[in-house]
Amino acid sequence: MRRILLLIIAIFGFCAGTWGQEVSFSIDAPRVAVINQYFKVEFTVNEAPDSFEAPDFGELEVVAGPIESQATSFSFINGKSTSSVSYIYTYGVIGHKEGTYTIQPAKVVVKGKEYRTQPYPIEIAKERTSRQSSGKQQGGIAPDDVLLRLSVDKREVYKGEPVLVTVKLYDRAGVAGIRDAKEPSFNGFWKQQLDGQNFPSQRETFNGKVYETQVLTQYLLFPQKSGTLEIEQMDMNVVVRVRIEQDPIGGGIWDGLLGGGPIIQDIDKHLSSSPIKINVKELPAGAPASFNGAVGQFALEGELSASQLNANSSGTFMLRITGSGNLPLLNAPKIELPGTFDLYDVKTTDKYNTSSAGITGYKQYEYPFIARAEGQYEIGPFEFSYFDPKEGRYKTISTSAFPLEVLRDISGGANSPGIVSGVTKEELKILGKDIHFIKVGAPQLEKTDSFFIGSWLYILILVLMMVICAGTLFYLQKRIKELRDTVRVKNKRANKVASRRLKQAQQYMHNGKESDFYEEMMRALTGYVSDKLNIPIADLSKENIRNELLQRGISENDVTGLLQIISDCEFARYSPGASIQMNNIYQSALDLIGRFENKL
Amino acid sequence: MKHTKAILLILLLVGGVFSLSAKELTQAEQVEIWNSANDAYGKGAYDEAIVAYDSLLASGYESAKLYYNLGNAYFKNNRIGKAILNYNRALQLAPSSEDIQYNLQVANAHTVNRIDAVPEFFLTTWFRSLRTMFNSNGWAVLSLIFLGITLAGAMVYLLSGTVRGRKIGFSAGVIALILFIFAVFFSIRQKNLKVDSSEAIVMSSAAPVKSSPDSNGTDLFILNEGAKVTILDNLNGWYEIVIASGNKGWISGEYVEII
Repeated sequence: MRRILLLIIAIFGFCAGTWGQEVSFSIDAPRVAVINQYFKVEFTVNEAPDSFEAPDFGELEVVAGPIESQATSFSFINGKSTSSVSYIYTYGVIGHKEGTYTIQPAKVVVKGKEYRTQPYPIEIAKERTSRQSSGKQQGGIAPDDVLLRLSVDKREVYKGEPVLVTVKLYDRAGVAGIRDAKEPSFNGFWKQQLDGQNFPSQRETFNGKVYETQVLTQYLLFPQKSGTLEIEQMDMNVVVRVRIEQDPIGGGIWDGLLGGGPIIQDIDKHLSSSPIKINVKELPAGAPASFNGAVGQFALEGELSASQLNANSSGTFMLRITGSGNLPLLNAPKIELPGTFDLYDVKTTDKYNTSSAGITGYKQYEYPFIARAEGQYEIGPFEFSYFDPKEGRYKTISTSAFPLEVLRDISGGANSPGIVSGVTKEELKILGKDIHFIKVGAPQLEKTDSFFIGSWLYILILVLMMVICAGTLFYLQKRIKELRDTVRVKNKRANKVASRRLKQAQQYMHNGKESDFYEEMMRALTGYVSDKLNIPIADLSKENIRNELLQRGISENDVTGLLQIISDCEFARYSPGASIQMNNIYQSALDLIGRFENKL
Repeated sequence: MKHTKAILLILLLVGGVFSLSAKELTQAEQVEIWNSANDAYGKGAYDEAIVAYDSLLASGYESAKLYYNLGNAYFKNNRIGKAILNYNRALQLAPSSEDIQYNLQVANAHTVNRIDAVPEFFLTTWFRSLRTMFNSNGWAVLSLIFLGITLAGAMVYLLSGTVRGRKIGFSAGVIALILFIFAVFFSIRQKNLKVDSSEAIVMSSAAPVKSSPDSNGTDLFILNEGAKVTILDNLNGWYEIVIASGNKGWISGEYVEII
């Protein structure tokens, strides 16, 4: 509701501003005009006129018009907008005779209402004759009346050595103002404009003429490359105010009386300076390693923020270069800090005073660093080299060395950035965990580096064990021997004896000695069994042979086979001519012994 | 009968020797220091605890527990390098202690360096993990046990009347003999590693490793506190070291402490 109200008020206010104004109708023309010279008469009404009636110009000749035009102005002041439209009727008029004339009222009708201008008197006068005599052309100036000159203080410099360029305006015509000054392009130079200076104007003679001179500006140019560099021409447009004398011939007798003055006219003049060549010499060879382009005269100071520091806390090393030369172009000298120092971005502060003598001041570099490890360090010395163009040689200056003691980190590495980097997931898990608690109870202390191995106790126990073992063996020596004789040797020998006897039996078989063959076979088999089973031959019986052999895993079949062969041999021995094949007996005995040998 | 007597004799002898050596200590004092150090640790007075534990070490005695507790105190004091050093020393005495291994792992997680170890031949790893099952003394005791088995096996072999008994005696004796040789070898190796350790821990929060044993040498890389290095050589207070990734260089002796 309230908003709508405001809106309505605003609209009304706007309308009032637009429509509520009064109608004005006015004439605008010069009060004095020069005879035979064209001048303008304008009628202005601020509302759209329904009709316009031209005034009576009397003896003044209307050479042009009426030309209708509209001018719209729109202003927005304090949130209130105003727009106005003017309707203008323009006439071009010339007066041919001296005297005072009156332009009669003009008439307009706006919304049915008539408006008139006041009668307007105009004086037509003759121009006054100049009393000055001058060699100037009318409406113009001589080419050397206004000059623009660039001058340099040196034409041969080293690279980086400043050149002072002065821009000077030479004037003997009356320069009223400078319109467009186009700064020359200083290719190959680094430019520093000298400003904030008021140069007084001077009177100077140049080419035999006296000029008022004015230094417009000055530049300090620092050549950035060697060779012949050119300061290009500078272009400028100036406005020269020229007095144009009236033509004395046209003047009548009223001339002196009425005093028609000269016309003051502004003329644009284009000026351009001539280019200047500067020879820039390359810096001599053999620059020191620490040279980084400084040319001038400098001094160096160093300063360390503290001589004692905790590890992982920051300190600052400050280098300050003072002097004059190409200070703004200097880069921060590189400084080397011990390996455990982290060096951060250099902060540069500077203060220069630029004058025609060059740039003087200082440039200060602050090198913030963080010392990571405790220890005794030495910061510096740091070198700085510059080229002195006055002496034409390089100079190296250096700071002193600053001792720095870095103490152990009191925060225990909490500030150390390292923990964050390269931590695996598992480690992160561990990082959050605490260590296990200490062990309590008996300390279980032992003499440091007391070792059991190689100690006399160890050797003693070792020897003792050997001795006990050896003693036991010695004590049981007889039994061992017995065992070796009865068991091992017999067993080993059994096969040998048996095979020897079997060979003998084979011999008998070939010779046809039957009874000898059987006897030998008997002995071979019983001997073998006796040796293997460790039973004397006298104690052998069919029963114990069977039992013993079966116990040792010999198959029933083989045992029966063996006993059968033995009884066959026994039988054949005592009953010669029995139908038993010697060959068969021999073969099956060999087979059996072979099989027994695998198992016994 | 004879055997039991002999074993009894050995045990008596061993016990006697150990009790003899224990009597040499001013045991009550040491236990007192030990307890006061543990109390200080419990209260959070880690500096105090460190001093007390150190005084025990200075008296010429050590134990895995002592190194472990000292390592804990250093860890709580944010001296990761010292903590890792002492955990490593504790591990030399008790290689299979899980508490020590765990705390060492936690301490390592707090170090800056992440050194990627060069892959090792599996047998080397296997052999080392076998060796670090026991400390030198553990292996020495084991070696005696194995020797006993060897001798017993030999006797069984010689005295058994049956072939099977002889076979069992023989193989048991041979296996035990091999184990005995290994145990002796491991025991000696563990001893040498402790007495003449070639491993060291970096103590400085950032120690430059140089290309030559000279402070003007080029910095090759920087090791941070807690990093483990293996010493190859030493010259004028400088150590030539190699780290797990295989990188070599010289480090000033002041930055490291040998385990």
